[in-house]
Amino acid sequence: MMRRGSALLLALVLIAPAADGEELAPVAIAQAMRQVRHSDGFAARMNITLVAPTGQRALPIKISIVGQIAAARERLVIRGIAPERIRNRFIAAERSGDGPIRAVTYRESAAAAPAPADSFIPIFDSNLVVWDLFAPWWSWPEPHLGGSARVGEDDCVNVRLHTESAASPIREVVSCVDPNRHLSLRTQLFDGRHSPVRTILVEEAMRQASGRVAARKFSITGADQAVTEIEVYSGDEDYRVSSGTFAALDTPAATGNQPDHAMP
Amino acid sequence: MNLLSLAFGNIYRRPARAGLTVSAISLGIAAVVALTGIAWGFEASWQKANDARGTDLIVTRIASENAMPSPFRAERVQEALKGYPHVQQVVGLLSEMLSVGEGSPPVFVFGWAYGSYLWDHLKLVDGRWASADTEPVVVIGSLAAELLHKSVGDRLEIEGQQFSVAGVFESPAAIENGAVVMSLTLAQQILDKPGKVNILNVKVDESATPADLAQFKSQVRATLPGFVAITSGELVGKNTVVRISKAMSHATILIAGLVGALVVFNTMLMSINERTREIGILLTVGWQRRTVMQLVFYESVILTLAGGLIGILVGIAITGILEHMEVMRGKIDAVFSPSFLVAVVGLSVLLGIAGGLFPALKAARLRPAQALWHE
Amino acid sequence: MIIHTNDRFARHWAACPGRGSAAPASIAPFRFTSRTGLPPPHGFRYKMNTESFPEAIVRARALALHFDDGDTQALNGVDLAIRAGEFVAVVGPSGCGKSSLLNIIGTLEAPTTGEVFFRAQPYSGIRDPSRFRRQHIGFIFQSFNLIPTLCALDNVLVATIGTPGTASEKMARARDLLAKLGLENRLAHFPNKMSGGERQRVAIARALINSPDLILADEPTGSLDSANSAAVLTLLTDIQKERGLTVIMATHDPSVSARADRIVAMRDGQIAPSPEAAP
Ligand SMILES: Nc1ncnc2c1ncn2[C@@H]1O[C@H](COP(=O)(O)OP(=O)(O)O)[C@@H](O)[C@H]1O
Ligand SMILES: [Mg+2]
Repeated sequence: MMRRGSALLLALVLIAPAADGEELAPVAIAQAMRQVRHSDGFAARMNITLVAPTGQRALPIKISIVGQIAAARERLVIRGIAPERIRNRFIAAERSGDGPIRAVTYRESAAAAPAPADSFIPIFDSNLVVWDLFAPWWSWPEPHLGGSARVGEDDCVNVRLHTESAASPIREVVSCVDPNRHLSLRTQLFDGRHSPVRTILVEEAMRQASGRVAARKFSITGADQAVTEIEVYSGDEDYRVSSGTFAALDTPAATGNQPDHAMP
Repeated sequence: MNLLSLAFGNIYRRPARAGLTVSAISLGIAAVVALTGIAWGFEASWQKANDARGTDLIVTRIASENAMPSPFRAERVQEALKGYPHVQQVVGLLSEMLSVGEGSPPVFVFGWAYGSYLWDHLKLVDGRWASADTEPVVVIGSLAAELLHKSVGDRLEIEGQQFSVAGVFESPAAIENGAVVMSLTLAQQILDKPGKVNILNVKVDESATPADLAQFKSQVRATLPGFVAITSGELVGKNTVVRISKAMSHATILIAGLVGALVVFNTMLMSINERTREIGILLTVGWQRRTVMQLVFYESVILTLAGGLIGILVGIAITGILEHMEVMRGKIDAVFSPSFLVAVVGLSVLLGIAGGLFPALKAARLRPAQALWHE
Repeated sequence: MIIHTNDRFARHWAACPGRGSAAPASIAPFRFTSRTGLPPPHGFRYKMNTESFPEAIVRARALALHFDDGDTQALNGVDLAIRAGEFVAVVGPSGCGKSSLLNIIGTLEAPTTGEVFFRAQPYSGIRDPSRFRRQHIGFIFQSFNLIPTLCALDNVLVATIGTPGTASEKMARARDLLAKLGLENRLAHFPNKMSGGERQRVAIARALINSPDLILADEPTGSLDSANSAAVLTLLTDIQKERGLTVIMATHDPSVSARADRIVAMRDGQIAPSPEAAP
């Protein structure tokens, strides 16, 4: 338990204890935000509620996310818990270094091999996107500061990042970081035409046993104004990753199986 | 005719004002009584839960203030603890607040090591216990059965897995009555926390003395860095719910105290201004200044005492109503100890003295010749 | 120096055993009024036998009472001696300072300057004026000053709170007194259900309940019609005689002051020269 557990959650949600004397240089912030995600193993369970632009709320779904994050390799497995229609549907994804993100979907009991998936597909019809969980923007070149802002009750500093990679549907990210808690309070994602695609907003954070601060409640608002509300109800900073945890990523994927955009 | 009957008479003949004052004080006291009773109830309930389980000490991970306690791998610590003197059993416990089934409020789900002493204090009222560690069944508290509308044989979905309700139990602790209990192994499996627990319950033998428990604690501190051993009483004191509710009751006592004293202050001051002439007469016929003060004190204390006694009744009534409300079921189990109620009465007398102090001084300082001509 | 005397005092003095009728009028009582007089004997508190030792029960010296930083001078240099057992009427126009004088003698008000002696004990040395009032003084006022929310009996009893004695004994005393004043059928009546004369009799009972030595009556008949006035006055003089009380009564009604042993006239805060006063 003395192991250096990473703050659970996802890119968007992670932060580190304040590094002493760290300057507010954008490169340093990006570096710290990458660093703080590192974990030998974490697990989190969350309730996800979809709120339509009309305000209509769907019944919440429960998922679990397990991950292991190091500089060289980053792996995540998302599992549907409830209700029945998403039960034991999995999405696994990995990324080596700063390379591309590879995702597969599978079912525990299904004999079929994992099917390749698009890392930009929404998870279980929500605004939660596998690609976002990796927060790849923190390794994009030349981040720069965009002035300070206020999100809710907290002050934060905007960090602007962008990529030239035409392959990425997200080309620009503005993340408002609380430099003391290393928590990104608001992350805005834009496409190649500078149109907003979605915004991730932290509503409630908690300090974990390790001292790191993670989001407990956050929301993701899409361009269509549909909102996904996410609440973490259980967490483990010290998850023991077993050999089977990410096995699906090592199984050769069935080819010719196009990603199912409506799914998993 | 004596000072006390005169004080009663003075209050009695201003029924409207006395009524308002007494109601204001009794509301404050009622809030104090209700909140404190509930806070103590929480504490007593946790204490009962611990006592009933027969747990002498619990060992858990040191968590920083305001942090979510996180589960830990039990194995190494458990083995170490088993070697400590007087230790009989070391039993893992994993708990989580989970919503079970759609639309129902979250309940406590406990995982207790199968076959351990923890189960001994539960009284089965219906059905049966699990017959094996991994049998996919749960037992539920009588209150949980009511809240979840489940009975023996029904199915319960917890974290996407189906369990059937094998039995319904009753526990001396309200918290357990509202909980779902399964074997530790099952809990670890559904929560994907294999080998992990929140706390380790330690049961020591009969011969262990308080000194032995203290020794146990320092041994944990010395040999298991990052862990702490707490007696069940200390644990209850550290419980967040208990702490918050106690802090709330303390704040209420403070606010109700201030408001009560102010109300008395205002009432007595007004009454004394109205009765300036009367006080002049009393001084003229030879009343001592301290007798005048005494009269004012008696009146304020009678007011607060009445407020206090009514407040206690109202407070107990409020708590009773809360306890029977659907949303509150099983969450409160208020405790009103006689000594607490005596203390509340004492508090109201203090209010009377505090609120009456300045008016009494003012009354006693009146110059009789001036007071006599006061209209 | 103003010396008051009257026939009655002279009779007392003459009747005093061991003293010749030729005793100079300037000794004993008068010596106390002298500014150069001896200090009063220490601990002079026992009740004096007024018959055998006629003595100034109250003596005021150079009393001044100023209000509003001296703009109003209610009293302006009053010297006065009252002998035990005397019935003295203080007369004078409204505002001349009668009430002020009685209030100071009653310790309800402290003089701006000057001193009052009660049986040679200076007021400035009284540590507990309440106790002093309770033991020695009874008050009667023009406006009765009854407590409106207490019945007649309780209005009398309220003066016994804090005095020694049992409740039943106090109760018996109050009933006796009220009966004596003709109020035996009014015990449970509240002031607003009683006539002015009845009210004043309740006030007299209250003034008497602690067996005072001195009654201070400030316009006691001022609110009463002539019949009631006469009745109240008769009661007062009867009791005074029966108990050997000293009474100082302020009034501006000549028919009332006529009942007094002696009249002290006041004007503008001072004692006015009176035909009765000695040269
Ligand atoms: N408390 C007071 N403040 C100011 N002036 C007063 C007060 N009491 C009495 N006086 C004034 O002192 C004077 C004497 O009053 P008082 O002794 O009541 O006279 P009397 O009783 O002869 O009518 C009056 O001019 C009165 O207005
Ligand atoms: Mg007057």
